[in-house]
Amino acid sequence: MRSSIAGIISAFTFFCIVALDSKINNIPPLGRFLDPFQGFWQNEVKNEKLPESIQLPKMISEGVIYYDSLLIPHIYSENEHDLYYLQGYVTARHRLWQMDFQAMAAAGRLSEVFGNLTVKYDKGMRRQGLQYGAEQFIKSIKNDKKMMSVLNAYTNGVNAYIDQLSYADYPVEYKFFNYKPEYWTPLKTALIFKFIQYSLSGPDYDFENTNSLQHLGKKNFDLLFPEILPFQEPIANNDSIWDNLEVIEVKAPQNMKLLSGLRKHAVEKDDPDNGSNNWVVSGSKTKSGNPILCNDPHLSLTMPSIWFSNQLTHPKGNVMGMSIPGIPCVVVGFNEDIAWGVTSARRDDRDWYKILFQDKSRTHYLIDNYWSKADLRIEEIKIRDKEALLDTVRYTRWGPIVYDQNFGNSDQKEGYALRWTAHDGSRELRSLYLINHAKDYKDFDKGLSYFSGPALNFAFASKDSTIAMNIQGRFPNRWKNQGKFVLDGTRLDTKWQGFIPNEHNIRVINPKSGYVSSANEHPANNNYPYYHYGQYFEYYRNRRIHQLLDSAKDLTIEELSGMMNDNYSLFAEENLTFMLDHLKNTDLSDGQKSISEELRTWDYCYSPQNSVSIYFEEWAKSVSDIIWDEFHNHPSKEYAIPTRVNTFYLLQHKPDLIFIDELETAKKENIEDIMTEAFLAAVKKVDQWNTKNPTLDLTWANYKNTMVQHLGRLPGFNIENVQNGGYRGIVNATKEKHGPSFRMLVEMTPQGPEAYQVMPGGQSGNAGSPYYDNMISKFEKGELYKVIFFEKDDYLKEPPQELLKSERIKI
Amino acid sequence: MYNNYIIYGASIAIGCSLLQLFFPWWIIAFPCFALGVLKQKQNFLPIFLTGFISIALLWGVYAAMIQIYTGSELSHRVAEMFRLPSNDFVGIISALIGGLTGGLSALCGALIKWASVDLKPVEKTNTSSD
Repeated sequence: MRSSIAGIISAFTFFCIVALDSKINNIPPLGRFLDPFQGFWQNEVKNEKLPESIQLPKMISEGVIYYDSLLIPHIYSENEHDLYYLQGYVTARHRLWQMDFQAMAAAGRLSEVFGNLTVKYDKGMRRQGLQYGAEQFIKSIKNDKKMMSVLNAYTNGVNAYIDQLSYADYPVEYKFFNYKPEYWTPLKTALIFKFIQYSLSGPDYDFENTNSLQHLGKKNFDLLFPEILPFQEPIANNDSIWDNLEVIEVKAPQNMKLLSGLRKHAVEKDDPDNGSNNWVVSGSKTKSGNPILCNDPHLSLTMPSIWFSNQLTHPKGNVMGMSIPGIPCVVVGFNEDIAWGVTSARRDDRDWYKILFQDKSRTHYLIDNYWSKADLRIEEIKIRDKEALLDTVRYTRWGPIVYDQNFGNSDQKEGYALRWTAHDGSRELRSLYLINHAKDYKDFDKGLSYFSGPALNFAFASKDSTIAMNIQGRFPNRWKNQGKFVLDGTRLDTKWQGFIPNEHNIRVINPKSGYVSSANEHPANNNYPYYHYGQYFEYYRNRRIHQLLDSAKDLTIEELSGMMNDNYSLFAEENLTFMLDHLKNTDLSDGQKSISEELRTWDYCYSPQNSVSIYFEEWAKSVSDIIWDEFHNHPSKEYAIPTRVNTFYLLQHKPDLIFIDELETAKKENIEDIMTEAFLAAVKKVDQWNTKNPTLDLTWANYKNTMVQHLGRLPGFNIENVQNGGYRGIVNATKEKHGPSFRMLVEMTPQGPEAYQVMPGGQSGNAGSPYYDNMISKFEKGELYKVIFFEKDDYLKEPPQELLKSERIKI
Repeated sequence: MYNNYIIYGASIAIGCSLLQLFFPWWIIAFPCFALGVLKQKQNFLPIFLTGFISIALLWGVYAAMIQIYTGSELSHRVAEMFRLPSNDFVGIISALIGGLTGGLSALCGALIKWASVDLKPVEKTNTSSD
């Protein structure tokens, strides 16, 4: 009797302890997690825990790190090995979980942590071959001794940090999800490169375009999806520069038949608004007479902050700016002589080839009447607490078959292979390294030639007053319309016929206008002799930037930094009057009439405190929704949806368009009906918001409710309700969960760079640190922090007083 | 009489805080278990409470110190994550979980001692010791 009571209670206690030490569904191992000695409490810090000195035996000589008041590390070392070693070490110190997580995401390994929840995501990543691309990347870097040593130094630095950790020091996310950090490898750096390319060129529309083309016919398709509208102002607006180009012609194959596309994408796409702004004004337009560069890359906003600001100094180089955790060097920044910034070029670098298999075993596929053998790559997706899942991906001469019977496609003998530049070996790391050390435009341009993807618009400014814009990437040389629709994978002549030679890529150098700018618009108009299709080019931000810069003189730093927070909607300016003129006032109640009156006097600014912009935005949205309702939400097929810019262009210029007639209503509608219906729908939607949020003021910032979301989707770890204006198509492109991932301004003075920056978040990846989100209030106001650029000599003197910490690195 | 328990509790707290510097959180079960075995009486409640209160206080006070010292940014976030009304609850729950583990372990120790006295020869039961 006694022993059974004792046995039962002991068993219960044992069970409790085991349960408190295990992760159950979404609940962390509570005992482990809440233990104040080693659990999450240990991640609470008053100020960052930074030691006075650390010992790193693998360093060749001693170094020093200055942390400034924003927790930006300024790293000094005597040689390059130590520099990248320290960069790896310091990045891991602040961002270990983030870089580890992103490398796992790119490799399709999230299910090892999250279980069943992420299996589909992992399958999608594996089938798109990011890991395959990363392996090619490493292969091509293997011959480059210099880059390999940079990469190894960085890797060893990260691992030196991991080696020092005990459970109590783990970033809090490891404790919550109950797993351990993994050693860094060069392959993981390659995976991060591929992940960036995936997020920038991942949103392709080949299937949607194919479906729409089949549904609409060529004439209507071209009307609804024109490649460029007449009022566009491309990046390179001077046609004469291409007069002397010896163009490499490509021939379109004959007898191409229209293929059917996949009905629906099975993988989730990244936000198509992944884009950015950058511009450089020459000294002729600035008050100080120095060139000034501005840049703000728009991405899905995540915590920990996407970018990590740092300065890397050694006797032969001194560069500062934004790096991406997991990648050595600075990605966007400045050195003593030059500054550069990037935006996404949005050129199409992903094509889909339709594959025909010989039989159900899917080992052979047809190419030019010959059954070719596919390489099988077996992907083992490990799933937490479950048996691993095996998925065979077939590699063809085009690339991996992403969609087949086992993934997103029902037909047994059909498949879709992905041809993507990210699968080719490339040397972006060398490119970054060379740009970091570039002294002038010539060095910069040479460094860029190694940059294959993702395709980016590089803005450039130098101390010697050169300003330039390079549209850089390895672009397939296409015939017209190649890659816009699904291509025939059963014939070889549909392949890419080489690439546009790097010298023929678009460059703008010291233009007469006195500035260069890019905002994801078309690279050039149709006079550029190469076909340059992109899925989703911008029309408004770029023209607004031109509007502001064209006539500008004596620009100051305040004016230019204010421009990055510019909330003016050019779209509203061009369309609001038209919309109001077609509103049937007789159908409106008094309240609705007063809203339309307010709209008439509105200044077109999506300011945070303004409420009129809410009505306008919802109105324009529902106009598009109503007009294209037959394309939206089709139960089994995805169609391309015309952009807002083309929708309103057609409404204004071709009002007799047949599509305005809604399919489901028998009544033939006209523009007045649509505008009024959309207006009423918008007002209703805003009213609903008011009833749902009785305590909140109806302001644009509250309504938009911008959130910076934690990568692991931990609820308390987000930054919520960011009070910032702007929206899609506005220079300040802050949307609900997407927007400027940093803002940077650099003035190239003869004495050296003067830089300012801000990010929606902070330098630390630790949610318990004040530096996790300390920059958000300045970000909201559109203000920037001045950052210090140390000279080499500064590190050899006594450290300045205003530093947060000066840390000595000993051997 | 209570003095003894205060001394026991204090030694457990000190012992555990030292052990926790080197071992994972479940090490707290061992001193509590040992206390139960050594100080077993017919009355189990004081034993349970000694284990419970000493560990709850140890964890609770340490958590509170961390909160006060750091400004407790992270515990606010964790409170939001678990949908708790304030970050103080995170400290209280931490203390309760620690306390429960300590109390139960002490109780186990006492019960096993109690059972072994009754039965001859001594029968081994599974303990909470892994």
